[in-house]
Amino acid sequence: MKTIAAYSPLRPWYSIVASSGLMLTLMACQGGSTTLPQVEASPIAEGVDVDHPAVEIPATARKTRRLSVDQLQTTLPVIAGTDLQGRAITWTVAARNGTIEATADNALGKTLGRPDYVTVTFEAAEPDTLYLKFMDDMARDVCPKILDADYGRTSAASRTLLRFTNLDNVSDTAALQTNMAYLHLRFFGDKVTSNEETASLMTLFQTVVDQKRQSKPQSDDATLAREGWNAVCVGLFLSPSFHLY
Amino acid sequence: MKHRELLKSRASSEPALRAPAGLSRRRFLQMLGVGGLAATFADFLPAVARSSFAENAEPLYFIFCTFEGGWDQLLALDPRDNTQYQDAEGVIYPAYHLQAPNNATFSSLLSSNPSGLLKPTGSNITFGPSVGRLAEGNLYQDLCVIRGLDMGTLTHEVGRRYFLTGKVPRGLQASGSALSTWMAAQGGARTLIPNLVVGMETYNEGLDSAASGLVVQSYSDIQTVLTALGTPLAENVNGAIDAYLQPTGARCEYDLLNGNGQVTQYLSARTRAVNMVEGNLGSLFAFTTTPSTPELQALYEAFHIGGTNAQINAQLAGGAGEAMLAAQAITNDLVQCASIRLAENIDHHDDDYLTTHFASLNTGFNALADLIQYLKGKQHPTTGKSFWEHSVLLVTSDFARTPNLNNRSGRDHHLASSCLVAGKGIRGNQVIGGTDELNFGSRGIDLATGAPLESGGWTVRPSDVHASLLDAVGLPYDHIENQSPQIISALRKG
Repeated sequence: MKTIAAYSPLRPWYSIVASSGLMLTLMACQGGSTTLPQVEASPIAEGVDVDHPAVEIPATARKTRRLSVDQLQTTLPVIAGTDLQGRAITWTVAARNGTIEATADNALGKTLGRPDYVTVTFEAAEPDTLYLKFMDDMARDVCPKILDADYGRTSAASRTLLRFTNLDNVSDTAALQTNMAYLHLRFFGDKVTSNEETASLMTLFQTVVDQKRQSKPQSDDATLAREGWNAVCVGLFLSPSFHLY
Repeated sequence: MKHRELLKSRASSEPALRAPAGLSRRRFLQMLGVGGLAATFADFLPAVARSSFAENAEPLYFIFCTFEGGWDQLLALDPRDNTQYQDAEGVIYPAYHLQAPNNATFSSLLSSNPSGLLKPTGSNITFGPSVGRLAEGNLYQDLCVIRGLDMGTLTHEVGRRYFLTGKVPRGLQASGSALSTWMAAQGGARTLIPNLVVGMETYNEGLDSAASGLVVQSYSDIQTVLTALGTPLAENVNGAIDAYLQPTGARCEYDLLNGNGQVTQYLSARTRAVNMVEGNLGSLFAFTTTPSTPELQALYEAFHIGGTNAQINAQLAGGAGEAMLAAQAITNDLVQCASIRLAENIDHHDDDYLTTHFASLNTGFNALADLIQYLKGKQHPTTGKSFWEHSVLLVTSDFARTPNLNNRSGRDHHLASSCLVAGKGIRGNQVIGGTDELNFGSRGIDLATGAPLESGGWTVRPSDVHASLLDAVGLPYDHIENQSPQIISALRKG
């Protein structure tokens, strides 16, 4: 009988002899038997039959998380758009020589919890008191900047907040609701299917406009609208839906 | 309706996701009487969070201090007579005489006291030369030194996190909640900032989020935290925004996100955040080179802060500044727990040990002494006792340093460390445990007497210190039961 080795033209003669010798030795150890040893495998646990019907396993969602400082830093310019000079709008705080991006490490980044990987190696990313305090500061800083840019743009398509409504609109409900739906999508990434889902935003806008009109009756519609949209913007930035996912 | 009142009325009236527990009329009138003092979390937490402390129970303040980097016990809490340990090749070599020429204070001390040991009259505690003002007067009467503490690790993060939580970390990952978080939760998160943490890690595993550490890096940070930045909105606008944020109407996105209570936590935290910036509390921490009020001037004097602008800024950035921050926060009842660093970057493996380590420890211990003295001198407004009588203190480090110098004239990491416990419920003027002469290793102790034993006995670990401290102040320690802590009954006063 020719062995496999004999058919390999590249194998040297001494390799063929060694392989053959090994095979003969193994055969001799088994007393001439060619039966391979059986492996005994003990079952670890009871398994299910192959044709077992589907098993109902309750679905569990992952834990809700808060935006990390890095995510916040990246997200803000995307949401806030650009100013009239084309620069990305973001949250800034006062620094020695002007202003500085607030989420930078040399501003509030570490205070907000960004790890430095020296003494702090873990970002808790919980919606805690400190974070909420600074998000209030952030919203009141960023929203006026967005509105400054919007009120300097005549084309609605180029505006960030007031994309589907006029700058002085406080009464065209349809346009207001369309804009609310747009903002709901822009800030939360969530498409609304009915006006009911943006009813609370409409209420916020209308309440602030009415209160402003009452306190300063001489205010024009553009001023009233701006006050309302500022409140809407701050509300959106402060909503759990913005910071949790 | 004022903004804060609107939040509270909504908190008491809204179902489901609302912060529970409305504001009692008595509490509201108290707040009006205290002027600018903001509301506390206690008004908004469910009763279940207030476990051991009833509304009328005495306040308890917890101060956690760390010397970050691993402290040399021969200079601090487990010293040796420098005149008796002169062999540079020996196992224990204090080498005070090698360090003293680099520091005027040390040099002066050693010239009049060659042993380097400090033992006030009447004290059962012998301190090392770096403890400074801690060894002055009768402060020793309040202090309990625990020596021969087995840290079980020579890794900075592990040692630090072990002493923070009282549980052995999982690898490098901290296990359990920080002791300050536990104390804040047990105290019902009563104050505006229940748990203040300066420049270090903090952990909350399963406790009320209101007890989580509020981490700041410095005194300027806490000013920023307590002050609303930028232009505030009108009161009515704030009210309208708060109404929008409440979970009423079709807010299905809240339901989707609230599976593990994060939305509830978010809205509760928002309420606390709003209250935190009301009132002019940031001015309490306006630590500049020139204190702006007589009160701040007195505070600076109490903590020996002075000199040139550069010196003052260095002091404010160091242990003295952090101790002063803790003192101000506690004595204004802003915090229940304060975690501070009395010294940083003291991991001196090289010859910087000879030039720097003593000064770092000395500064930290001086700040500690000033903090205790300040708390002793300030009376609590409602109990009439000093703030110190309501405080308990724990001073730790990552681990210790080797008792002999390495070949770079520095000291490496060493397992047998010490800690300092003091305050309410703690029996002072005593030393618990010790280290042996063979290799400065931990000696087992008699838990009842605290005496170190020649053989056998219990080797004290951070878990035991945590449990014993909590036991001494009458608080449970179930959260570290899985560490099988032993109570050092010798620690308990009375």
